[in-house]
Amino acid sequence: MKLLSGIVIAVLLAASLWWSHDADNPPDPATLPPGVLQAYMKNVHMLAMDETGQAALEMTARSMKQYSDREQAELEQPQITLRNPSQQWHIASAQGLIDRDRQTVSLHNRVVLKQQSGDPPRTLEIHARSLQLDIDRQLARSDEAVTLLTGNSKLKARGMVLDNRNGRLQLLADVHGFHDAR
Amino acid sequence: MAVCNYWQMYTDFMMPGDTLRCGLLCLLCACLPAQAQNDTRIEIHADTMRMDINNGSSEYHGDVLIRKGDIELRGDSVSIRKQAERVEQIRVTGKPAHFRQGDAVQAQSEVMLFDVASNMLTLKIRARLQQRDHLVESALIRFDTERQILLAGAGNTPDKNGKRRVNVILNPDPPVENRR
Repeated sequence: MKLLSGIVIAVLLAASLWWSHDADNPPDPATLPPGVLQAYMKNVHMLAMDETGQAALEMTARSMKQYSDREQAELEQPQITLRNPSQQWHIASAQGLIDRDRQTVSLHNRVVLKQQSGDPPRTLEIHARSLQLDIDRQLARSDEAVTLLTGNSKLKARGMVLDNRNGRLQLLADVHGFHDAR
Repeated sequence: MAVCNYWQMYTDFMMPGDTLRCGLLCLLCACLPAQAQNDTRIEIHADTMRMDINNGSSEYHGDVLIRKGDIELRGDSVSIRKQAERVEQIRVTGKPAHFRQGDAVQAQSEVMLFDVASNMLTLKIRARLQQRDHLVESALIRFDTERQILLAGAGNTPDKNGKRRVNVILNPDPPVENRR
């Protein structure tokens, strides 16, 4: 009898513990102590669609870390492809940060943007120290030194804005370099 | 092509262990391409640049300076048209835009078109071109920067009176005793 009542109590305790755990509501990050690694993902692959359901952005990264006290997740070796019917840019860097809402990506440390278009194919390459990417608007912006390489031209400047939707690139200040006329 | 020539020079010129010759050849190889580059390079300085990624054309704004060899173009804005990665035409606008070729030629107009392949410069709207001994004013001036030949007035739009005017001011020769 004692054994039976013991089993019943144990089952009731287990059931109460089970119901107290709500699987749909993970622990609130605000309740976690600051600096705690909240999520770690390896070989991240993300696909973002535009309003028509087409893939507008594809991102891969070696890893992604989300800390409890930060609004951005850390990306290791992110590689991003910005898609658009006429343009496709490949963007890579050593490190990056992505917002919780997955709308803004900040890339830093050896940022390289590459685009190939036309017939014969023409390659456009931009090197920057850092880059902010607005995923929805397909806008890439840098306020630091940038180098633009295209065919036999090389231009340096301070700051740039790339509007992938409209196929426009702006160098914002102190533009200098050369075109080879050959 | 250039590499092949240098290699031929290298094999003709070199003897085993001849370090002095090797040094001279290296110096020659370093200097020759740099000279060739200066003639084909179009150097650009500007405040800002806008590029149409689809066709590769670009516009430069704000105190723009273009240099190609001894040619210098300055203006408020410059657009560069490319075809298959080659610069075809440089269009300079300003109030006015300025052109200079060494110390021999200076020009200004509101619009300048420089055709890179033919080295022809077209000056439009309030065009003035000054060479050593004369000044030419016209609505349109064409100038061959390679042969330094000038053609003024051709294709001019008529003025209010229906006339196409070209003004040429020749500087009087200095007295013979002062020429040297």
